[in-house]
Amino acid sequence: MRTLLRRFRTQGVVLVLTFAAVSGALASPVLAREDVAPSAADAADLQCLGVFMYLAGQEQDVEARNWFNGGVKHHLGRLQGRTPDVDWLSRLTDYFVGPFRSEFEANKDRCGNGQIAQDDALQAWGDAFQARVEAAAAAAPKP
Amino acid sequence: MRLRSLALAAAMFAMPTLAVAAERDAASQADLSCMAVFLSTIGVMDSEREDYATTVAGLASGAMYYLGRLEARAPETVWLDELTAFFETLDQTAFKSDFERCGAEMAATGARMTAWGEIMQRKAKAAGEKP
Repeated sequence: MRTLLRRFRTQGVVLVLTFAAVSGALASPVLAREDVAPSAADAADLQCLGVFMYLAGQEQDVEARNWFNGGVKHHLGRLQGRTPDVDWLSRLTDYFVGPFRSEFEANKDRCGNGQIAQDDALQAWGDAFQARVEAAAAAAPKP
Repeated sequence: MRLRSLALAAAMFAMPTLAVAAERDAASQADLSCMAVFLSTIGVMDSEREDYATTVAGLASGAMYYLGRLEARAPETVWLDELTAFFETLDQTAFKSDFERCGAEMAATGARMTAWGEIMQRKAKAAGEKP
């Protein structure tokens, strides 16, 4: 994952070249779905959803793409869990048309670091759980 | 991630209950079940399968989806501790039905995302073809 973060952090240099294509492709037919501004928490998660969705779409390496897709699902889950009555994919389309490009550099490290912290926590949980299982197995009566 | 023995763990913890699961609302209980289902399935996957890496990645992202739902709904809760408690009080029968429910939910979410992605790609392609 550390390697992925390093790659993640260098992605921006290359990916900026295609921002214009993405936002230009969407600019004409997209209308705002909801006029209500998202909460600060939802806005932060929408930014990360955009970052990970974009990077997953650009990435050729399978492992890296899978990691980005994990970030997509995580942040989509956060948005749907906190505010379930919003069509977040439509909001994402609007976000790509709007400030996504100008915010990308500012958001990618925050989002990437947050996802790595989440991965680390899950890893630590898995290791601790595994240790408990092995301890329980060792303590179980032998036939 | 060393999760291969989760299924064994689930079976073992289901017998001697070491912790009492916290009171959870129905939505969080349902989402926690799904997170457990996806992580447990990783644990029983045959690593020799040709599609092992892809399948594990999909299952892991499913677990992340439900973790995201949980932590956004109740950010003060340590959901990985809740996950441990969930395994310690596991209902094996419910677990099987959860597997189908959670799989269907993730399939529906994946289908919506795929449809969205295809629309995006078509629009991007159309924009690229303009003079």
